[in-house]
Amino acid sequence: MSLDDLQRRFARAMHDPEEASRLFGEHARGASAYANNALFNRADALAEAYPIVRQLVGDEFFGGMARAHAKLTPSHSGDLNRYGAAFADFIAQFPPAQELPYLADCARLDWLCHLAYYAEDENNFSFEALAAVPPEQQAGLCLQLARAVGLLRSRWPVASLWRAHQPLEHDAANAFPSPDQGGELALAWRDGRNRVQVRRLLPAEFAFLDACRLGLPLAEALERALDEDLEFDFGVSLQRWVNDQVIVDFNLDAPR
Amino acid sequence: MSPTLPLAAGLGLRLPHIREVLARQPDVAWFEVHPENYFGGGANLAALTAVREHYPLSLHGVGMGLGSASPLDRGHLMQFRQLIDRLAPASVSEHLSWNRTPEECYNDLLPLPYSEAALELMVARVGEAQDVLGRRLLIENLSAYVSYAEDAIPEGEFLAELSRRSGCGLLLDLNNLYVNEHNLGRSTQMALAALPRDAIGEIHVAGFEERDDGLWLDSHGTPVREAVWALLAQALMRFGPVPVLLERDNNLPSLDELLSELGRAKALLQEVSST
Repeated sequence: MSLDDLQRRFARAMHDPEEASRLFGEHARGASAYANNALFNRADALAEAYPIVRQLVGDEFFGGMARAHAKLTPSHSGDLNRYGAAFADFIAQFPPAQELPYLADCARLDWLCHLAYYAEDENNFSFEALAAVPPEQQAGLCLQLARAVGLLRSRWPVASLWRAHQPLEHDAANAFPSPDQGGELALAWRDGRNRVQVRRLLPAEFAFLDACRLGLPLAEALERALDEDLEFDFGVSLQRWVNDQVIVDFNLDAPR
Repeated sequence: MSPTLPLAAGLGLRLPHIREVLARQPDVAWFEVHPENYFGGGANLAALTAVREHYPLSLHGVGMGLGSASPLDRGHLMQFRQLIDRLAPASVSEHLSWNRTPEECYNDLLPLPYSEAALELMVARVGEAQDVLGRRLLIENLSAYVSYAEDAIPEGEFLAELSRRSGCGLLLDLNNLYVNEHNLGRSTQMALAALPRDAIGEIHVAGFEERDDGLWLDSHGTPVREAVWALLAQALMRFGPVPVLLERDNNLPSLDELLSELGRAKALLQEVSST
């Protein structure tokens, strides 16, 4: 038997006692230990990546939902921190979770935060370099978001729900929101002290950053922002997003 | 000449302890981490980089699946390489295991048959990984819960031959030998006798748990058993002073508890160094 065949049979034997007996003989009982490891390693990875969902539904419900997803959804990387990208879509159609219609969007925000936590480090934005761009080229430059940045448009107040579940932030200013209070535009990113943050965005801010994410030139990003709000203050916004390490670079050519 | 670990006792460093280690800087000769937890960037990597300023590091990979019949994940190898370039670890190691089919990755350390075909694949894969990583690897013997009809080479000889053909060093996990003897009836003493003295670059000790049906699980979730400490004393007599790691991954106790347990490894190393 080739190694390729043997490993495929091993994979089947994890869940099939008869195949395990054929492949491993007297030691077949060990196969279930591997099935158990695979399932719980994935479920544990989901629990790490989806802390708000876990708080919203409790550990027991979360564990059942995570294992149900893990049984159906293979991992593709030796790095378990990359496992779980499809969990929000699973939650959206998981019948026992239907009582919490905002849960899937909370999961989407959890995942953006998870990606932000592990995203590659970035260099600091250079205002000197920006100032050196000739005026005739300014409209065409593209601002570049940090790889840690995620944007989410939701019909639920996901950013407020996220903040209400942060330790030490559950005060009057971050009171638990009613899920029915309306939709929010959320920005997830990692700040200069490596802390993952979530903030509500105004429609113009969201439109601007979304345009940057799409690699659109500055002139078009501004146009989209001003379409939402004629008062959009580009200078102030840029300064803040640079300070927060939301915008980390720019380029004068096609986006990366 | 590759850097090497101090001939002293090191401790597995897991994320919940990393800030305390930075604050207290305990008397530990070196720390071991799983590189996969530090892929990418951010807070984990920043903390580990700070740890590296005070301690030698061992990067002990758990995700490469070197013995998979499917090709190695080059992206994974490159992430590992970036970490090596950044942290200049004293040691880089992986396992004698596989983890993926073309359809799925199992995120586990799955056992290979001890066959000539598996040996040839491992020799090629260790060579490939060593080329990409730019470092000599230590390869660790596995705990296994199953064995194969294809097993033709005794475990110790398989490891010795892998080291001889690929140029890799060996990471001897004594708890794994002990667990395998119980689960699979393999002789720990035969394995120890077959291992070449100069290939052993590091020794691991850890704890295991008993499943209800009598299978022993290499969970790294309990203190090291007396029998495994005895094996350590014996192994140090045979191999001389070697870096020894206390591993603990689950049911993580306080850092102080681990430091106290590490004292046993320090004492055993002290004994063998002074004779």
